[in-house]
Amino acid sequence: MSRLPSQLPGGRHGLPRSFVVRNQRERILAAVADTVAERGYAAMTVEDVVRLSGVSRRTFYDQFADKRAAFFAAYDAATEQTMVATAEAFLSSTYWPEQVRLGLQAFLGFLANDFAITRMGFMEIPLAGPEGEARHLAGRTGFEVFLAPGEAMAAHPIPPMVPKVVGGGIFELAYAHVVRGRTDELPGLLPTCVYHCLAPYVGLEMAAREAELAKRSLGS
Amino acid sequence: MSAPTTAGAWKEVQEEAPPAVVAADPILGHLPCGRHGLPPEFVQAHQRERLLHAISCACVARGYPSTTITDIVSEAGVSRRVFYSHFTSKEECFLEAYRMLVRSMEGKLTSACAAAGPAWPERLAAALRELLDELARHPSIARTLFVDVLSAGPQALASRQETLRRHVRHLRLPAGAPPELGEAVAGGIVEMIYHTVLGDRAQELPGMYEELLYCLLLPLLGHDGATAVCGRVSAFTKSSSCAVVQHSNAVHHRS
Repeated sequence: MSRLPSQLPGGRHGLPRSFVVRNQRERILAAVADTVAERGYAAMTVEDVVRLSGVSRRTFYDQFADKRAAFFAAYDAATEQTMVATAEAFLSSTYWPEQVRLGLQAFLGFLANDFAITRMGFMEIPLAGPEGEARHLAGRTGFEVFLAPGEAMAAHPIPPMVPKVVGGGIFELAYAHVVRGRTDELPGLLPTCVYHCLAPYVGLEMAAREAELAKRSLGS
Repeated sequence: MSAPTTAGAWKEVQEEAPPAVVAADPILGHLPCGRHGLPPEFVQAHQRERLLHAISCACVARGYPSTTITDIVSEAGVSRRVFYSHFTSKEECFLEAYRMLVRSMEGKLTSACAAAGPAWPERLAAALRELLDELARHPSIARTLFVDVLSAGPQALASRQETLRRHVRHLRLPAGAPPELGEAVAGGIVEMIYHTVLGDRAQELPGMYEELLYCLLLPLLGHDGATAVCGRVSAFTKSSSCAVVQHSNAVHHRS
């Protein structure tokens, strides 16, 4: 079998064991994401993953108990990458309404560029039984952290359900686009997402102004 | 941890309905065996109904992806042959069951809206309350509508999107709001219900009504507008007890 570009050299190469294991793990996770994107979780087999990642079956089972475990690890990795991209953009400003706009822009852009991640994170994870559903939920609620600073800007108390409903709305809106096969149009949702995130905290007028800004940033 | 048996789940559904309905509802009972003189069309329609209810219940026990045709037919008390005379696949059966439950729920929400009068926020509030109450009364229906539909294939997902869009049209968006705001707002409420049903806490939904309504109205009316509607609606629902309190206060003042 020919060697994949991401594969390490065979035989004695003097690379530390931990490095090798990490490289193998990353290749397996990438192969899982690609296989799921192409064929769906139900049809994915360990053989597919082994072939695509270029690791041995033995290596696969050294790292993961079964295909489900590998799928969950790939989902977690994808969620983390999305979170990191969002957080980096969010932290590039210090003014919360702008942080929200930049964070959402990165979030939507990241998802639009990675079909494997959206298919896995939106469509396939609920198919993986109760544990998949629980992860699905945990993955989504993690993004509520970006709404917390909004409470300080609000002129009224924010009930605990508000960030959950706001975050859930963003997810549902993106999900509806993915289901309709319009993943590439996700960045166009920015004005709506900005309005939806800001309105409960800073009021309708300011939310409309920020949504207008977001709309202009789309054109540029 | 063992999953509840399908028979157990079915029993729960029967117990949810008041006894008079169980007796009157042909869906919930099996037909007599052997020669019974019932017309074949009646028998077929009856079997179909049983299968549609059975798939919902079977999925409660095991989740849609793990539910098999065997689970569904044993729940319904019919043969595999009968299943395949009505449906070509599990997906098709689920899709029809989902649509049936959506139609029935929408009928109830429409009646609740009609009873709430002409003002849209009040109608929306009445529909939300009815939805939460219905889901709490029938946790298995809640699971079909909010959880299992997500894993029942592309057609089920498309049907779910269609249903959502139909309801989103009832929302009035504020001036200057982006067009997809309705989808995001409704989506947030759906997401909250999903969390709750997924955690087997459907019976807690009615207790979440006021906060959910506030969250639903907040991006549409702003804090003051949302608070005003929530106040009016809760005054309306508590009007009978309020009237008693006001009356006794009035009596107290006069004396």
